[in-house]
Order: sequence, then C-alpha cells, then structure tokens
Amino acid sequence: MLAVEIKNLHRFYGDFEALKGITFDIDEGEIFGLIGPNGSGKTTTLRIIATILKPSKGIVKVFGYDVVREADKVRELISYLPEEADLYKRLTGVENLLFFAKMYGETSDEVKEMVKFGIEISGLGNRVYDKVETYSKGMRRRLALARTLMVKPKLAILDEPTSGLDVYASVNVRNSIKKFVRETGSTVLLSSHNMLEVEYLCDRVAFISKGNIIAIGTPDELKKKYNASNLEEAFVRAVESELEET
Amino acid sequence: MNWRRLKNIIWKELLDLSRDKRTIFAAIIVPIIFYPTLGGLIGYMFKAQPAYIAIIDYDKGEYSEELKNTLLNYSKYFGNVNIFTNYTSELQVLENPNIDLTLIIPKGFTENITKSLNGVGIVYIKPNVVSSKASEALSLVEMAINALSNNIVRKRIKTAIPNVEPERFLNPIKKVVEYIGPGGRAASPEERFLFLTLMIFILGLYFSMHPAIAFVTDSVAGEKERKTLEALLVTPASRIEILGGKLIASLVLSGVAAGMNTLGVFLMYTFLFGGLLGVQIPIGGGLGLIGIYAIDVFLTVTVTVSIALLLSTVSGSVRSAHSNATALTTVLALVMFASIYGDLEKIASQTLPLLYLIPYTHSVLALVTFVKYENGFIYSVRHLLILAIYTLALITLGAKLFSGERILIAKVKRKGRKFKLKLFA
Ligand SMILES: Nc1ncnc2c1ncn2[C@@H]1O[C@H](COP(=O)(O)OP(=O)(O)OP(=O)(O)O)[C@@H](O)[C@H]1O
Ligand SMILES: [Mg+2]
Repeated sequence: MLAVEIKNLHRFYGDFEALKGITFDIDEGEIFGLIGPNGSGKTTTLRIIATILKPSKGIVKVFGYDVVREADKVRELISYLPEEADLYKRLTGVENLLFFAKMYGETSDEVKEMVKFGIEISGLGNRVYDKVETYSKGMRRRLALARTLMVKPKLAILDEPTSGLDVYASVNVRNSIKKFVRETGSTVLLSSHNMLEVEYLCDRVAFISKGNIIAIGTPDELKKKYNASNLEEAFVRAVESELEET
Repeated sequence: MNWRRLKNIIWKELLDLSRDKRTIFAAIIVPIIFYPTLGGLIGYMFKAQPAYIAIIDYDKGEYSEELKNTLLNYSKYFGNVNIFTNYTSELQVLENPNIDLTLIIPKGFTENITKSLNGVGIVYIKPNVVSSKASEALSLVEMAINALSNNIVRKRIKTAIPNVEPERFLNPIKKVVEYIGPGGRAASPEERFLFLTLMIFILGLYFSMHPAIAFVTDSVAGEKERKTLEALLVTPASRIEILGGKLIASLVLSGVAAGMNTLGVFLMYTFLFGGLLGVQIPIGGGLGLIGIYAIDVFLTVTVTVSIALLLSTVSGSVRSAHSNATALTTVLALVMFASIYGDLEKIASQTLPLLYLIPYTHSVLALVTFVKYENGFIYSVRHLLILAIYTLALITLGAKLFSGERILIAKVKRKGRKFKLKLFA
C-alpha cells in the first residue's frame, strides 16, 4: 500500500505559485526525504500532506484517504513535527508528552506506553520533569521530535527534524529516527537541507526546486544519474541542469 | 465530539492557567481587593474631607446671630462640616485656601429686615469653584437661610394680620413623599439606593470582562504565536474539540472570576455605604438581585470570551487579538456607561431598537428589568437567555473560521489583496 500518493499538486499563495504540479509516491515503511533550497516548497508540501493547508489543485492521499475530504481519518494515522514547533512552556516535558499522548491513545495503558517511549526518544533523562521554559533550544527540538514519534504513527512527517541541533544531538536524532522505523515499521517523510543527513537516513529522496520535483530516486541512483560522488554534488547538478532547461 | 480529547484539552489549559500567575492575579485576586478598596476609599474621602464654611459677620445684629446659630446647629447633623465664625475680613479668608464657602453678612442686615415689613436683608454667599465640597456647603447655607426667612415671615404675619396662623401662609401645600417600588408597593429605605446599586453593578459587569479576554486571546492566538498550534491542529482532535476545550477552560476561569467579582462588588457596596453614611445597608433588591447579577456577570463574561475567541482565530498575534477584542468589547460596552445616564430600556424599546443587537444591552437590561418590573424576574431571564444564545452563535462561527488555512496564512493573503487593490487603483 502507498503511504502517500501525490498527483499533480499545485498550491498558490495569492498569485504566487509555490507548488507547480508535483507528483510522487511514498511506499509504506520507507524513510523518504524531500530536499530543496530555501523557499522551494518543502514546508508547503508537508503542510498539505498534514491536512493543515489545502491543495489549490491536484490529489493528495495518505494511506488511501484524501487529505481534504477525509482529513479526520488522515489525522488519526499521522503525526507531524512542524518546522518551527514549540512546546507548552509552563508545562513540564512529561506533561507535554502526556497531552499529546492522550490525543492519540485510547486507554491509559496505551497513553502510559507512549509517554514512556517518548521519554526514551527525547533522551532528556530527569530533565523531562522540569518545565519546558527551562530547556535549551536543542532540548525542545528533541522533545518535540519525541512527541511526534512516541505515538507510533503510520506516517511521521518531520519538517527539518535536526534544525537547530548540534552535531552530536543531530546524530542522536538520526539514530532515533532509524531505530524508530526499524522497531515500528512506520513510514517517515522528512525534509532537510542537510545532504549528509539525508544520505544516511533516507531510502529514497526527491529533489524539489522552485515548486517542481526535479529528480527522484534512492541516494545511489541519484548520485549515479548526476555522476556525483555525494548527494550534495548530485543536488547541485540537478538544480543547475534544471536552470539550463528553463 | 470526543470527550476524552475534550477533557484532555481542558486539562492542559487549566494546568497552564494554574501556572500563569499574572492572569490568576488579574482575574481572581484583583476584584476581591480592588472593589472593596475602591468603595472604602470613596466612602472615606467623602467622610474624611470636611466642608469648611467661613462666616464674616459685619452686622453683629439679632438676625445675623440667629443665622450663625442655625448654621452651627445644622452642621451638627450634616456630617463633616466645620464652621468658622472668627474671621473678621474677606482678606483673612483668602489666606486659607481650604475654605469651601464664605458667607458674608453685611452691616445693617438686621436693621434692613426689621425697619419695615417690606425690608430686605442681603447676604453674600461665595462658594469656591475649585472645591468638591462647595455644593454641599452651599446647600447647608441655603437651608439655614430658608429657616431664618421662615422665622422672619412668621413674625411679620403676626404683626400684620394677628388672627391668622402663620404656618398656613408659609405652607399652604402639604407634601407627602412616599417612595414606591415595582407594582406600586412602598419601598424599603435601602431600596432608595437602588439606582446607585445598579450603577455599581453595571460597573462591576464592565470590569469583569477583561481577565477573560486576556486569557482567551492568549490561549488561542498565543498557541499560534508560540508555535504550538500547528502540531496541535494535526492531532486527531477536531477544531470543535480544540476550541470547545479552550472555551470551557476560559469559562471555568470566568466562573471563578465572576464569583470573585460579585463578592468584590458586594463588599465594595458595603464599604462604600459603610464609609459614606456610617451605616451598613443591605443591598436594595435583596438576594434576588445578587443572584441575577452573578448569573449576569457569568454570561456577560461568556459572551465576551466568545467575541474574543472569534477575533483570536482571525488575528495574527496575541497582541492584535487582545487589542482588537478589547477595543470591540469596550465600544460595545458603551451601552453600560450610557445606562448610567439614562434608562437604556426606554431608549432601546422606543427610539433605538438597534441597541438590542448589542449583547451587553441585554447584560444591562437583565439587571434593570429585574428591579423595574413587578415580575422583573421573567424579563431578566429572557435577557440572560439572549446572552446565552449570542454566545452559542459566536462560538459556532468561531469554530467555522478556525481552519489551519486561515490561521497559518491569513495575514499574507490579506496583504496580497490590499497590494493588488493598490496596483489596480
Ligand atoms: N503564507 C505564505 N504566504 C505567501 N507565500 C508563502 C507562504 N508560505 C510560503 N510562501 C512562499 O512559498 C514558497 C515555498 O515556501 P516553503 O515554506 O514551502 O519553502 P521551504 O522549502 O519550506 O523553505 P525553507 O527551507 O526556507 O523552510 C516560498 O517562496 C515562500 O515565500
Ligand atoms: Mg520549510
């Protein structure tokens, strides 16, 4: 079954066309990376899949459910880490986790299980019992990621999961994501600027530039296609050849 | 509607609120301290500040003596009045800026009155315009002069027409004043203060609105500003659950705030009159009025919360949501202030039916009709129901407008449109 199915997706902000008819699929159980420069339309795409923005044109389905007509169904299956997510500052880390767990979990055992898992992913140790207002930026991002993954969604949508994190924390987060997918069989869709991260994490990657998908494939396929030694090089060549065409 | 999630949102809001010291202080502590203190202060200012009257007697005759004595006598019953009789010239009085009123009895005053039946005595009364006590002093002086005039008339009548009862000349008409309440029944003494009571209650209504506005704008627009909303919107919680949870949490706050407000206003009333008149007067209208007031405050706050909720869903930031909501509710609340100067019910029912569209008109009328009509309770409940209906309508509208689309990009869209208009203009 396809986790995500996007056909000819357009999105306008007023007169400005941020997405110019993109099409791609994500298989269940994949870690899929959406890569592109600033302003290329990554966040817009993720927000549409997450049901909070509407497509101007085109079809977007998550596990067969339409994101516009069946948004409620979609929201039961996904969880989302926004690009600029923050937490409730007057609440402690655990209270934040508990609040989100209760949105998904049906029974108190389920909720407890989620929170336990969340504390583990966050790696915050005893600090999870402190108020979030005492956390550093990186700690908050880790907690936000934990909050997103702990509910074991069928599809986790992560908008730049490692933004604002130091190298060490980034490595931790990447390992968490990988471990999470291995353990749960969930699908992950993430966006990033960090090619190293994407190469390490993703099964498949789509390059997006100015609202168009310009290439799609496994990291190895893309490197081969653009005759590049790493994904960064492949990306730069893809963008350049796109510029030449237009 | 999923109750588990709704409960969860209420729990989160209340937990957050319980740690928000500023809002708690504004909603709960302030009314209970502020109103009684205000009442006590007004009462104290009234009592503690005496009126000063200076009398300069150039006449030193029989009638100037009598006027002085009458004045001194009256001042004993008139609360806090000090009469100075030791001044000998106006210049001396000018040296004391605290004098609220100067009474000058010129030389020949007694003689002018007594020399013939047509004789007129003149006194000069000089109230100080910058004094808040001048009018009080003036009415005291006028009372004393009237009493003296009556005495003189009595004497003249006796001389001119000896076989007539002077009282009949002086008071050919006898006035009987009896205060009445709704339905014509005799009013109790404390009910004479009903108008003042209503004014204070209506003021209390106005002040009850603000903490709830602050809470709800922070709770809705704040989620956006603090970047917690986006993640929340993607959870399985529906828009109605999210807004409903926030609304119920603000109603809990409003309920507590309304209770504190009622108690505060009640205490203020007691203190005001305690301070003003030295007596504790029970509130005219009795417990019924307090009960209606409590419900009225709650519903007024509720309708305010739903207005603020609606504005918060379309505002970009807490600051703009808060200032928009405050501005709008303050304008609408002008009917409250207007009702202090006129009978809002008469105006609305006879000249300006448009006023019925303003929810706060019903807040005021719920109180006014309760005391005005014999079965005021029925009218009052009708106005309270209208307030409740307003609330429901506003919340439903708020939930409709509360879409991710509008919240995340509302601002930009509007700017774009304006920009376009400019280009085409
Ligand atoms: N609310 C909005 N109103 C108008 N234009 C918008 C809005 N949001 C995004 N855009 C525009 O749409 C384009 C795509 O934006 P988007 O946020 O999807 O980019 P992105 O790939 O996530 O960039 P970044 O790497 O900087 O996060 C940009 O040109 C941006 O200016
Ligand atoms: Mg982005």
